[in-house]
Amino acid sequence: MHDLMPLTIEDKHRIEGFLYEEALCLDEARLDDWMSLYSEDGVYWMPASPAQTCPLTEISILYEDQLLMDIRRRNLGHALSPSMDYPIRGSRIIGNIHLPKTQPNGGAIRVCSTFHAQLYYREETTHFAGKYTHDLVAKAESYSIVRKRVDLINADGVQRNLLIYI
Amino acid sequence: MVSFEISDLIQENRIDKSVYLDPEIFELEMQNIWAKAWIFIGHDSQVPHAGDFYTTDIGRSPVVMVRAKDGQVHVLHNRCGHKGAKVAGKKCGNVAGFRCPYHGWSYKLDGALRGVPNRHGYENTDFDIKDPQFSMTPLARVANVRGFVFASLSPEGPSIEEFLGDAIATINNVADRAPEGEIEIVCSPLRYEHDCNWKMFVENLNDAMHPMVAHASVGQAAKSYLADQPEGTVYPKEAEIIFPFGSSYKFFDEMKVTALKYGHSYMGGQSSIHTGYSDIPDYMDAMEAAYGDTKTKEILSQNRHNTIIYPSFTLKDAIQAMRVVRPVSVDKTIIETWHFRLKGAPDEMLKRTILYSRLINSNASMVGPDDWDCYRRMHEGLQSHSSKWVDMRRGLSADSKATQSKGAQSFGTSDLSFRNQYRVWAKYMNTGTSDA
Repeated sequence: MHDLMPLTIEDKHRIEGFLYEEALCLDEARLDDWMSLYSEDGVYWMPASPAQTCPLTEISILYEDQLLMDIRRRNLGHALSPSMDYPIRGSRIIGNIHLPKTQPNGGAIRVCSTFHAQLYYREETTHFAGKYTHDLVAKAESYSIVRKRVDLINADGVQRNLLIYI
Repeated sequence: MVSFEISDLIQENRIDKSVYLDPEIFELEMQNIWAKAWIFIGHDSQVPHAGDFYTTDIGRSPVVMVRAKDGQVHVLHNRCGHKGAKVAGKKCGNVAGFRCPYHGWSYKLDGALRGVPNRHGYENTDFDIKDPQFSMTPLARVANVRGFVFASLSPEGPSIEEFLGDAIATINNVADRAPEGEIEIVCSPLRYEHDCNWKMFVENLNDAMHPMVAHASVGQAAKSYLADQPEGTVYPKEAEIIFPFGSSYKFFDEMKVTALKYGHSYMGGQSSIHTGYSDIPDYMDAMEAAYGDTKTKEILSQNRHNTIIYPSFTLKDAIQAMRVVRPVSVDKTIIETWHFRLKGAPDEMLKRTILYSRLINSNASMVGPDDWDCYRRMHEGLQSHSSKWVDMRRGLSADSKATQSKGAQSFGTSDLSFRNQYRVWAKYMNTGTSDA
């Protein structure tokens, strides 16, 4: 652990608990609850290349704000979507939670972690792995996500359907 | 000997399902279509400097596009002249010359063999360093159209101009939309694996009967979102991109579809699903400064939806993205989406393209997976013992009345482009040439 700021044990537990809660919302496809963990200007970003620096002038697999999260929430399981005709189930596990030395300007806490996720869809189980980078701001007794960056180890590899956030 | 007759598979109004399902037919397509036609390789902006290379495949044949010291862009077989190992392994990079990592044979940027290690062992063996059989052989034909590099594995066939026909107007318009008259590829592409035959994807590009059905959900989700917003909420730019996919049959019919000689086709012309996009003022200024008012209006008045350049790629003129078709096997196809910048245009244009592509082309979008699913359902449904025919007769009675000047034209939701593709497909498959 190379903590930048002096974090109490309680803070660490709180951060871990928050990340687990987010993963659980996605495992259980509770996108309403999941969205509420993001700040009003919060974004979810999954780059299409490990070196990607800009989500606006370079293509990403996903780059979604509250607007798109809300449309996606309404599209999930939609009766008129052919791809939504099958169950989507997920199981995410997070480890190696740490605070990197380089922290963002502006007061957010940057938390890095390693994830493995399995998604079941259309008779196929797919494994995803990589790194999460959460930028969090304090909110009441918990946190709010300003930005979550998901770096898949195969970000620039050949992708198949992805119907829910990892 | 193949176990089928092409003429039995293709009828005027329907095709045999084995066209999509039979591995033997796929093998013949690799030989008679993909090894004969002009295939899109890449854009020369991907290799701006001497020694820059980019690797890809024509069908399954590995090739490398490389810029030589004299500035010329070559397309070489990516195969060592010795024991056949693939020489360039990376997707792209920069080299002074190529070197096979197996036995160290080295090549100049134009593919000529430069040296082999421990040369004395070849004395009195007829080995000649200048013999092309030992080189990284250049492809039979290479053409560059406004930076778009095409190559053919076949020494024979129509010239690139003859092959493209009026599809060249899309390529020209794409480049003309840059104030500097050139485009530039940016970032790595999206690479999306589809569980389908390559032709299903190609057909779907000009299939105007599917958007309002297969993509209805995302439009409804967006509408329901907007309905929940307070009155006076500014219409988000995402809506401008999503809603046209739910346009009416009438809208698509009026867009029209045009089918060209070598299997190419496009929808739109003066209008398309991109017509309603709001202007980006800085872009208009840059265009007018570069071209003047009249020419700018002329360039921007062309608005084609997907132009399919059969069989290997598709591009739009109003959105700076193209999709490249990479057949892997009879039921596997990788679709690459490449994005480009209009040189001299403000970043807002690129940002709109990137947003569009994320919303529509990404494997995680709310549009792409619905298309994916429909293709996969065709593979599943066509296993049925019910009928062997796949129907494409819609608009058939209007075909004879179609305008013939710059290709056949029909109402937008006609199956004309499919019929045109299979007409050309049968020619390639029968004779290994699209001329007949």
